[in-house]
Amino acid sequence: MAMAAARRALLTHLRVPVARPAAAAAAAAAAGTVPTARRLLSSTTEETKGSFLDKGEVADRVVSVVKNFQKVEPAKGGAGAVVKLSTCGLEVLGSYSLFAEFKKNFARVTPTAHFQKDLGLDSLDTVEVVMAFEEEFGFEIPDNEAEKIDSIKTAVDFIASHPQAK
Amino acid sequence: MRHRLLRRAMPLPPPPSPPPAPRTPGVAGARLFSSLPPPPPLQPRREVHVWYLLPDELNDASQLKMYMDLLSPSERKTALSMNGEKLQKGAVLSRALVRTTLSRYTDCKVDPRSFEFKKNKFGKPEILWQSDDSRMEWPLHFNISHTTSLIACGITIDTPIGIDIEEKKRKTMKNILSLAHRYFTPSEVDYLTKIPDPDAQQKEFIKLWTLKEAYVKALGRGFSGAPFNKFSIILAANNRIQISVAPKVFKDSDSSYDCLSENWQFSLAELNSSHYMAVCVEDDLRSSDSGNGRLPLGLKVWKTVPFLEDTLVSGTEAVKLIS
Repeated sequence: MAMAAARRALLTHLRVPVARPAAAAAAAAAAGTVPTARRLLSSTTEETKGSFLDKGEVADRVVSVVKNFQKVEPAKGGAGAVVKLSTCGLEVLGSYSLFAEFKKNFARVTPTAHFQKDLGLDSLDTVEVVMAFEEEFGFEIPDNEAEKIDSIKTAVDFIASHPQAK
Repeated sequence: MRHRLLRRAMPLPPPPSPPPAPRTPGVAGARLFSSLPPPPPLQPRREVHVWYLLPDELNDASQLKMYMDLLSPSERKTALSMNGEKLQKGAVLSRALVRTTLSRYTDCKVDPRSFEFKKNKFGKPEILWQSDDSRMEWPLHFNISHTTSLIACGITIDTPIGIDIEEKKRKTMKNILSLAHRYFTPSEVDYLTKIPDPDAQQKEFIKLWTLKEAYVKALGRGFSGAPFNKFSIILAANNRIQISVAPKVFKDSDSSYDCLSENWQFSLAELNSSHYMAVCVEDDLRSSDSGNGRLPLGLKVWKTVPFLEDTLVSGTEAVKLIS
């Protein structure tokens, strides 16, 4: 459980350009500490609530997924690097064009963010985000429910009320 | 805060602006377009006209204000509720494009400001014609699609239409084949899997995506009303685009969607070498036959700066028909 939390915390700042460690550290601090705390709490909550996840934990994980996902545009000149966690520690794989910038969009992913109005996500983005939720929470989201997920809040409400969410 | 969008846009000496028009149809509407020729007649059921604009080219503050003034109060509120100038501008331009384009297809008898809209029960926007004797109805259908770099409005007469635009080079966060496995049909996954070059595979994925989106939007039943994995788009070797619907299994538990129809026609084109555009209209069964005798869907495309400039781009390098 702790490993998963640590891995998740690391993954939340995975796509950070090497040139901006301060921002990365800030993001890690913001994303890294809370999930661990929630997980300890939620195991108690799970016993009392049955198989539903704690809404606060769901919210953190949902925000985390969308932050990771954030629509990025190909950089001109590729100013970033992909890092990969391996047994030897962080391994820089080389520069890439996809995840080059720490967009200010990252800061817009708040618990009240609307996908279209706040984050500018279109239908293909939303479909990818839903797929990312499915992977994060380990269950398939049916099309008629996926269609209603248009914001962080609707995603959290749906997932927190779904017994199959892990 | 409300006018941040307008203040920050590049200030230019304002062009002579049209006199403030009352929100009634008639001469005022015509005057706004007085410098531009009317669009050519639109063949009912056989033809689609598409008008697009490029948001990055429209930065004149007074021009944007003119467009903003065309919007209804609720459209204005929605546009300003978007987070950031770019999204706000996109929302304003999108509504302005729809209103101005529709107006032109009523011979400017209906002022762009006058249009009212409703959503069908699945959320597809449609024109709401008032049952007012003084105004005729035009059997106009429209659909819009926007990317950050291009906003397009497709118009037809007498037939439902769906349009979708995507940037050609658009990268997905997820691997193409895993997206296809999750959302597309087995035959479409097969088709994509057989493409060895990742760039070509990505392009074909985008083409399929825009065609499928265009169909769902034309049907007007929403994403869940026409699930992507229940119909296949086939890009045949002779550039024909066909749709094939999975036969509905009796006692199918997933009965949330009605039977999908196959009588739809598609057109796929490359715009400005930068975007794919897919258009889908209901088939005119009277003029088509099951063989190769079916007439291709007529398509005309204009790049426009509403009220100021139209450029017919179909028939030029700017519009390359893929089918």
